[in-house]
Amino acid sequence: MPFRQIGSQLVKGTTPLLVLTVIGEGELYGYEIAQAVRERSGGAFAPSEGSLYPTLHRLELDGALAAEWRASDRGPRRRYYRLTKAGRGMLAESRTEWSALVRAVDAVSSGG
Amino acid sequence: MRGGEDAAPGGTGARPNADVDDAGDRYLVRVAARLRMPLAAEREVLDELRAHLDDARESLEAEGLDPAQAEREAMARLGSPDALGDDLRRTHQTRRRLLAAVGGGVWDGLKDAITGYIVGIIVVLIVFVSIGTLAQRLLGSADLAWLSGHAAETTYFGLLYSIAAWWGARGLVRSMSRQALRRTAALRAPIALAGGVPLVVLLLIWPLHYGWFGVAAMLAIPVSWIVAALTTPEPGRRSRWSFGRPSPRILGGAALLVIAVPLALFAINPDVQVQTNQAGPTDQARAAMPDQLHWAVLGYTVVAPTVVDLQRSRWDATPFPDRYGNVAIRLTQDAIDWDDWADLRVEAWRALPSESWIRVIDPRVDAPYVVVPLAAWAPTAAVVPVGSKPGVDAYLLFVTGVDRKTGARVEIGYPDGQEVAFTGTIVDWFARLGP
Repeated sequence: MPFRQIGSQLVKGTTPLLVLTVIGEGELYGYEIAQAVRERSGGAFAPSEGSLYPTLHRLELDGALAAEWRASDRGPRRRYYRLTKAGRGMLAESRTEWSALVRAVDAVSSGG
Repeated sequence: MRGGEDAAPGGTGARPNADVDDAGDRYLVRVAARLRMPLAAEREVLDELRAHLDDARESLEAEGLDPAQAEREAMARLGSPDALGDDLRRTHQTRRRLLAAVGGGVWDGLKDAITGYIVGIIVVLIVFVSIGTLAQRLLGSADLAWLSGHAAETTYFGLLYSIAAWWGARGLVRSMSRQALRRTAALRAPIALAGGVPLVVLLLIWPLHYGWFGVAAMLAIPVSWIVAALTTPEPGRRSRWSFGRPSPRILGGAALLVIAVPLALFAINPDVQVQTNQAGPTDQARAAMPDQLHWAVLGYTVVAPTVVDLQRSRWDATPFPDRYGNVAIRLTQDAIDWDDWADLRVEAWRALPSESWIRVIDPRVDAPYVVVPLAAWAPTAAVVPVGSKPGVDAYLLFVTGVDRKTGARVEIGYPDGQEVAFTGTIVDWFARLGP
């Protein structure tokens, strides 16, 4: 279902995992994160981008992300996020949980 | 930036289309209205959202949308501004953060209160020393009883604590606002109440030595706290109630003023003395008391050193009435031949207020207002109910006896002469104001 958008409630639950995954590959600012998620999901994750910022700020408060303002050559200054050590641990944990969830849902939905 | 009060929200990037900017600004104004965060924190959030809107719009324009459509789409992707503002507020304004801010805020408030206390010392010293010495210089023998004595100490500390309370309340509100990411408007009333109520209760149950100035100064403490808390401005905004933290230059200047003003005044008039009112038995002062003439008119015999050795007999008294208006006296150095005296008693006379320890009986009175008989077998101690009536100024105590040889009543001791420093709570003060 690459171009079909996924339900907003499901997206909301997976946003932290998606955000941590994308930021784990390099420092990014908000719009870049949203774009990366959108592109890598083939448009399947086209959530309200508004949910992105509460998630980013919550992860920052939890210590998973560190943020830094940087001036930009074009347009306004931007707030760059990077993964912290705690964030890497949280990402690994989230992936494990997600895999377990997928397996469980598959098992139920395949009738077996 | 709330409600269009400030400049356009968000960042500083190039925004060529005014209509587009207006739409984006309106969106961010609605987000800000839901954020209800301190201005600095609010600006950070809005800057980030502004940058996002700009990036999204540029990207959509590159895809072929016109600027207005691109802006609308960018905003649509961010979703409802109300929901976004609520989400962000809930993210930042957690209960945990608020509780942590209480601890940090109390610590910061305490530090600011100590700063205020130091500032208060400087201010009050200027008030007491400078005005006191200036008044003495200008008015000569003016009555400056309010500047001295036990009741004056209450005034002094009341003023000090009022200034400290102002600083402390402001520090607490500011610190909690910063740490809990809540606007000061949301914290003012709870903090005014949380500090004001205990201060009022403390004031109601704390017995002190009061004069009118002391009553006003002590009442000023909770008032100062409450007014300071309720008028704390949002950080970054000036207020007519805001005095800010004094700079080292101001503090240094004030300290210099404290030193320089009294020195200058003393230089003008070296006879000026600033003294606290410690009344007590002093034979030197006693010898000069003009009330002896008054007493002589009333038929008392002035005691001569040949009759009673006042130099070697000393009475001690509690320094001021207790909260029930009693003063205890005691003979600490006995050189009196008690067999020579009959009808021993302690008399309390109304006296004129004075900053000096040389007190004078009120010329309008012709009899003591309190008389306490002394037992012949134990004449060395007594409790005298001199009273503790608000506004009553001073009393003088005398031990008198009837000379068995002449039949005349004679003063044989002078335990104390004191201002009536009202002792009690503020409630007692007002309760006893009646007839």
